[in-house]
Amino acid sequence: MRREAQPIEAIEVPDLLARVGERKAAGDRLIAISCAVVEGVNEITYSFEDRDHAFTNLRITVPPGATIPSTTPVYWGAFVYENEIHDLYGLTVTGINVDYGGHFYMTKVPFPFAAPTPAAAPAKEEKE
Amino acid sequence: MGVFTIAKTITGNLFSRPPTSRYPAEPAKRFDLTRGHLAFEPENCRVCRVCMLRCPTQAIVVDREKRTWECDHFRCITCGNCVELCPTDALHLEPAYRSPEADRPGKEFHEIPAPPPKAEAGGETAEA
Amino acid sequence: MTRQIVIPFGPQHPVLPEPLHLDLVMEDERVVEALPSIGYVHRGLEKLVEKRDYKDFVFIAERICGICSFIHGMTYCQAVEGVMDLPVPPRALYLRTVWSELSRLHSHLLWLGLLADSMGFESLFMQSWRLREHILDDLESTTGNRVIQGACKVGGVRHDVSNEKLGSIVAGLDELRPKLDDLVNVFVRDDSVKHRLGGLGVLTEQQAWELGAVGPVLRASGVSNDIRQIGYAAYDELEFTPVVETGGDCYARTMVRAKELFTSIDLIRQAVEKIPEGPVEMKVTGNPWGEFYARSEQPRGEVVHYVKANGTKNLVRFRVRTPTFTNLPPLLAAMKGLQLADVPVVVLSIDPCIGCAER
Repeated sequence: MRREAQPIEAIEVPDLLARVGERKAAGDRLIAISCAVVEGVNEITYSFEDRDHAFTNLRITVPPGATIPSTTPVYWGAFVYENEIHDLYGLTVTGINVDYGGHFYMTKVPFPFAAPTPAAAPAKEEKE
Repeated sequence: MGVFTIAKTITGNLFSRPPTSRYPAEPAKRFDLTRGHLAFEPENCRVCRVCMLRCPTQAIVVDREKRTWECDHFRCITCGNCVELCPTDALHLEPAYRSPEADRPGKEFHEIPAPPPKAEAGGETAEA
Repeated sequence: MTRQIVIPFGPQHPVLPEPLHLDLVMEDERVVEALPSIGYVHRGLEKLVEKRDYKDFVFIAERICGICSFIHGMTYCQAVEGVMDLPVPPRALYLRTVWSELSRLHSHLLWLGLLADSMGFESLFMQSWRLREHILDDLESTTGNRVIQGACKVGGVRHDVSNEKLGSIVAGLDELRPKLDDLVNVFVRDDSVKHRLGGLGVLTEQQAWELGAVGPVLRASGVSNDIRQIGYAAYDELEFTPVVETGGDCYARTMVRAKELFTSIDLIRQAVEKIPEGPVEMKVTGNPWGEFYARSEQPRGEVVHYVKANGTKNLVRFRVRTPTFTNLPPLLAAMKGLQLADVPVVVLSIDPCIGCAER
């Protein structure tokens, strides 16, 4: 059994498009965009793979409800991930090519996975 | 060239028995490991509640005060986690599936006999 | 200038067992653009991880999908084992490999049957599912269930399988092989199949790679990319070459899956020959702390399970990226310019599993 190396590089939000563009120019494939709430902030990780299965990640950290730029000008297919992040975490993604406007996942509770804020306590309520 | 390619298989099928079993007439296929349904033996239970706490679907409810054990078979996914964790072997999996039920109850209710005087098991009645 | 109309397609459709809704923008009979809508079966399984013990969650992770369930459970275990850096016993890794390949066999046979059904080739559909039943029996007799096997656990597997039983599985597969040859022969050579699938929904190599296609969709477009090559479970000790086709159309995707049946049989044989003796599980104590991305190759393509833990028994984040989710953009690209009657076949050719995609 081999466990692959998975370097994660933290970058700043303004550099995001340039860095993702570098990956595309290097011929990488976008594997996934994942979002996680860690201690009240959103970690958004962009995972890439090159043709030899080398797995690398870029990570940005943004506060809840922040606005992030869309990577769809670089990777056309990224709209599924970005709509998902908008619908589940309540982050705003600007410049997305196919914007569902919050209708990608139709959840009973708006932004069910978002970081709990003191004002939006009912958002934590989830059906068992 | 590419016509009647399935003719050989179909001709073979015409002269062979159907692969399906005639289920009500002959018994269904079962194996030793088949996870059919969860069975409970009240005599062995020590009301430790590990089955309730570790059930992935929260199908089991154990009441320490009233000494009762209840399983909602419509929630139970027969994963066998409780069987592995039970310290006193009060739970096991039967290979046979439960028979169909017309209405929703599906709950199995047991009273657990008190340990010191070895009393007989309580009522084994299904409860609505 | 022809008038454009929008035709809603799905979520209930005779050939689609999955609730995928497409808005097809049509010009006469031709698709100009397609927009997918999902969200009918979103269950929020990823959120549930915050309320369950990480060891028990494997049973829920397995229920993300009803077909590639074993590999979901295994990948979740790999992710947790990666966080905790557990040395999993080799026999357990080999057993996982055998079960993964059996899952792949039954999933591909299921898909081949569904494809035949979508073309209206009913007898081929039944023949595929008949052969699939043998694989399901092998799975049930070794794990306890037909499709939701529940055989993996963090730190190993739950049951050992005797070497005699493994030998009999290989013998059974050898018996099955001539029948699979006959079946695949129909898919490869039959004129009606060729005419129905050839040239439909073409994705070029460039498109498939850049839009994020995975699994058989990517390999059918000529990219040799199979996540089994990264060597998870016991795949680093087994020999195989990914099946690659260059057509990029529905026929090529069918060929990839049909030929992978034989790769899987071969991998099972190798794994059974090489399987070491020893324990199949290890004692896992403590709680995970850290994060890990586990990737593995499902019948439908690459799946990514991401786990983040903070030292408590509940994980902080569990994220699954399923193959269908990332195969949606390539599907939209493949559908441009299709005839309306071809849409169901092309949608089916990516092997959509919307239950997976939405978790």
